[in-house]
Amino acid sequence: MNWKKFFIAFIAAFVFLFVFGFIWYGTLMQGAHHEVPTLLRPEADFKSYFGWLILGHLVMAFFFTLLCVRFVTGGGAGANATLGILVGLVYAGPHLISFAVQPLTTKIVCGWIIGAVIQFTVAGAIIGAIYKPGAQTT
Amino acid sequence: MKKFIIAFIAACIFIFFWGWLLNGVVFKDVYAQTPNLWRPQSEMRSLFHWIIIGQALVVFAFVMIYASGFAEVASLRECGSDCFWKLQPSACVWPYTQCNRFQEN
Repeated sequence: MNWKKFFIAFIAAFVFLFVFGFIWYGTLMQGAHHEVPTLLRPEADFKSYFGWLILGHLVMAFFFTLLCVRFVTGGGAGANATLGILVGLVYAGPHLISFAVQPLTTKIVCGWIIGAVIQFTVAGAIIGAIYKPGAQTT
Repeated sequence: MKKFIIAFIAACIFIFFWGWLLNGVVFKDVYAQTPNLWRPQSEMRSLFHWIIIGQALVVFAFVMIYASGFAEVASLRECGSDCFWKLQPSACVWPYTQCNRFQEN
């Protein structure tokens, strides 16, 4: 494994996941999230948990990059984007389960699922574009 | 395809019982401490099919990932790093056909 390219791909994936998350979940879906205030932490409380938000994105970016680099040997943006779609669908399942057990709105659950699929598809493409097959030298 | 379906059904059964054991039994009391976060029992029952659909989706995507390449790459690793790195990256997205090609050589 080319650790330098892995690290660059990991950082790029982290930055994308974080920025996309802010735009999609934090901005575009802000109104939908306000419909279920009891389920979410208050703004002030949320700020004190910001470290956990960063950690969550680091964990997602690290393991998704690892999955792309180690198991999509053909590499490339397209192949990794395909893996990203499947990983996004893995995330979609728990969102549907959350909808069954928590008082979420249909708008929220649809937004989360679409967001997860887009997020991991694009993140996969970014990782594939950075960690190209040529990077796999001894 | 036959193995895919068997793996899918087996994983579905495991995920369902594991979910029930962990969330429905082990964490039951913990969840009961935060009733405002959950739907009432009757409402949950009427939406139970979404739990099944959600679990089936997780399992389907997971088995697809495994069957699409994960298993082949893992088995290649077992035959040695030399074998693994000699694969032609341009041949295919997943290493399935590459593996066959390598074996032919």
